[in-house]
Amino acid sequence: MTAGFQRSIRADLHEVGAVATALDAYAVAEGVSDEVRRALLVVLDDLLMNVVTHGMAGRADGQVAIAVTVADPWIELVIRDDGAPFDPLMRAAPDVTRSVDARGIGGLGIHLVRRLMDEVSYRRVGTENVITLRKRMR
Amino acid sequence: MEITTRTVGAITIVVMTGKLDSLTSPQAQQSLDGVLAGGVTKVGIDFTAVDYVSSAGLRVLLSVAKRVGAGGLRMFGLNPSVREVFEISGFATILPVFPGETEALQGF
Repeated sequence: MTAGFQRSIRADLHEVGAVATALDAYAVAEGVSDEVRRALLVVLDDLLMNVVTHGMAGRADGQVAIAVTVADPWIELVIRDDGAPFDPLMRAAPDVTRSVDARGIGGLGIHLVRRLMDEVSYRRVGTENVITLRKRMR
Repeated sequence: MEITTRTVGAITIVVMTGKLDSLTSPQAQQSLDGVLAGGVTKVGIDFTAVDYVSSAGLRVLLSVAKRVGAGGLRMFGLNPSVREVFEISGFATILPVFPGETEALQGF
C-alpha cells in the first residue's frame, strides 16, 4: 500500500517542526479525529526528538523518513533513520508516581508513545532503524 | 506557539496558544522563566487554546513546578488529549489541574 503521507527530512529540530505541521494538515484533510491526530503528533515529536538527540548525535547528514498510511480502522506511522542501531522502545518505563521534586523526565517520551499507540515495534533493516506504530482510529 | 500573560491579584496567568512540543518548548520555557524571574509565586497556565503537549512540553511544566512548588502552579482548560498525556505521565496526580479558570483561581 502506498503511504498517503511521505516526507524525508534532515535530522534537525526545525525540520521536525515542519514535518509536524505538514502531518497535522494531512490528518485534518483525511478527516482523522482530533484525538487520533493529536496522539500521532505527540508520538511523532517524541520519536523524532529521540532520533535527533540520540541516534544522529554529531551527524549533519542524517536522514529521517516519515510515512503515514490510513487504512481504516488503522492509522500507521513508520519512521526510518540511517543512524546507529538504536531501539528507543527498549528504554525502561519511568516511575510516573513520583513527586514533583523527586521527578526526573527521562524515558517519559517513550512511555507516552507506548501508551498512546496500540502497537509499536522496532526493527533494524540493513543500515536503518525502522519504528512502526499503529493506532485504531475508532 | 503564542504566549501572553495577565495578572489577577497576585496570580500571573500565562495563556498558551498552539502546540507545546520540541520546537515550541524552548520559547515557552523562556517566557515562563521570564515570569518567574519577576518574583511571581503563583502561576496559572491556561491550556484552552493548546492543541497538544509532548514530553518536551511536560519537561517545561515540570521545571516550572519545581521552581514555584506544586502549590504555586495551577493548570486549567486542558482538552481531552492534553489531559490524557497528563494522566499517562502521572502529571495529573502530582500537579493541580482544574477544569477552568474560575475553579483554578478559587482559593489560590
